[in-house]
Amino acid sequence: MTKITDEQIRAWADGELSVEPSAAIDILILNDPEIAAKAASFEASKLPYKSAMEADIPPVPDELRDQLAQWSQIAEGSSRPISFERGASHYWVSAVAAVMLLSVILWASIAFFKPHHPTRGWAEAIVSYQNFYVSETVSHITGDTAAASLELASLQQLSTDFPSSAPDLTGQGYAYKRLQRLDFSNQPVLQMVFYKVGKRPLAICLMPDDAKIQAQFTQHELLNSYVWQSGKLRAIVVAEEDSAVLEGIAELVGI
Amino acid sequence: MTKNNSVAKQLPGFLETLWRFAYRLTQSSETAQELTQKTCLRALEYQASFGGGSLKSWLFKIMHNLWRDEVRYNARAGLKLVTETNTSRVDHIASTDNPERQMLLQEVQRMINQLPEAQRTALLLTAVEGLTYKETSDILKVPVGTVMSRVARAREKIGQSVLQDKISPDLQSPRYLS
Repeated sequence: MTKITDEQIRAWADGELSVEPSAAIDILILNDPEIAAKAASFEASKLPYKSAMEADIPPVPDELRDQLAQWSQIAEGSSRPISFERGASHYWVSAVAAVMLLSVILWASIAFFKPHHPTRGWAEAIVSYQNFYVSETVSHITGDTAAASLELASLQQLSTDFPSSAPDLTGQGYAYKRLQRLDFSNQPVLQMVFYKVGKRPLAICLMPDDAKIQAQFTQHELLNSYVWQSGKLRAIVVAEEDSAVLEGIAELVGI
Repeated sequence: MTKNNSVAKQLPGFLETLWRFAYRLTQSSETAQELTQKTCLRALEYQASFGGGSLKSWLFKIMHNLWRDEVRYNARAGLKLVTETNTSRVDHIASTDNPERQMLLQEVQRMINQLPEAQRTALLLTAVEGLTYKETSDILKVPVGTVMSRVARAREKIGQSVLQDKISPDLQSPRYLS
């Protein structure tokens, strides 16, 4: 054996090799300090990986179990492909996607020559993050206000500009669902999520930033966003709503 | 049971497995819940495209694709969820058995979670989920050789940490390694 791979040394350390190749590696270890060092590392890495990664996994949440049982029942009863998120057929989706692709190319060509809004990267990151969440994954959550208060209190230690409670959007038909802390380029971001039947989840995000930014409404692929300055916080609301509704929510949160 | 709805019938039986994998990937119960739900929705929506074989691998592939897209985008954009703190994770472990073993499990977990994402996922799928290199390569959409080298690099890195006394030599005794 002249050339030896890391995988072979790993197999040697794990005792997976038969007598002959194992003995050949024994000799290499004796004669080559570099191989000996690698072999020592692989030997030392024989650890209880499975136990370590299973030690603290919480049980499957009940609502997740219930929800999957419901979805599976619906899907079992269907003899045709089903869609939980899209009402249109896949043919329509393809056609719309083609039109959208052309629009995106046209838009990108125009946008290339336009100056960018200073918060564009931030806003796009928030919108993209929000796209990950669909109505089915948020609708079941019961807004835990006690947990929210704790999280807000800890955020206020980072910046006293963070609010002490989530805004009440019941007037807009949205129920509070949850609040969580995100980080954007090592800056704390408060994300508050709300839900209305038949709509994708709405999110309001706030981040400390006292730069005076200009309010801006932007249409994205699935959601729209409105960015504004709320005191010493940079704010954005992302939802499947038009500019009037988003501006109304911005006013409610505070300008 | 037709092929079309066999996924729907079997999916609830994989919930526990999916949840655990999601939790290991995301290190957050909130995000694990989102990821598991999204994986199940995607699996049910596209169940007709399941071509037979291992349903677990197919589901893991869906989950990993969703997570990879999320991680890639967020890494580019600089946005990430602040995951459950190490303190709370340690508390969970601390409530298990003897203190030395708790310390070892805690250290191993920390070292796995500090690996680069590609190596961490390869190690999770092989050493924790018990999948073969071939199954892992199908899920990660990389050649088997790449999986092998990612696992080897991950193991070597962890071994180097252990040798640099990041884990007390006493804890490496075989009695703790079950």
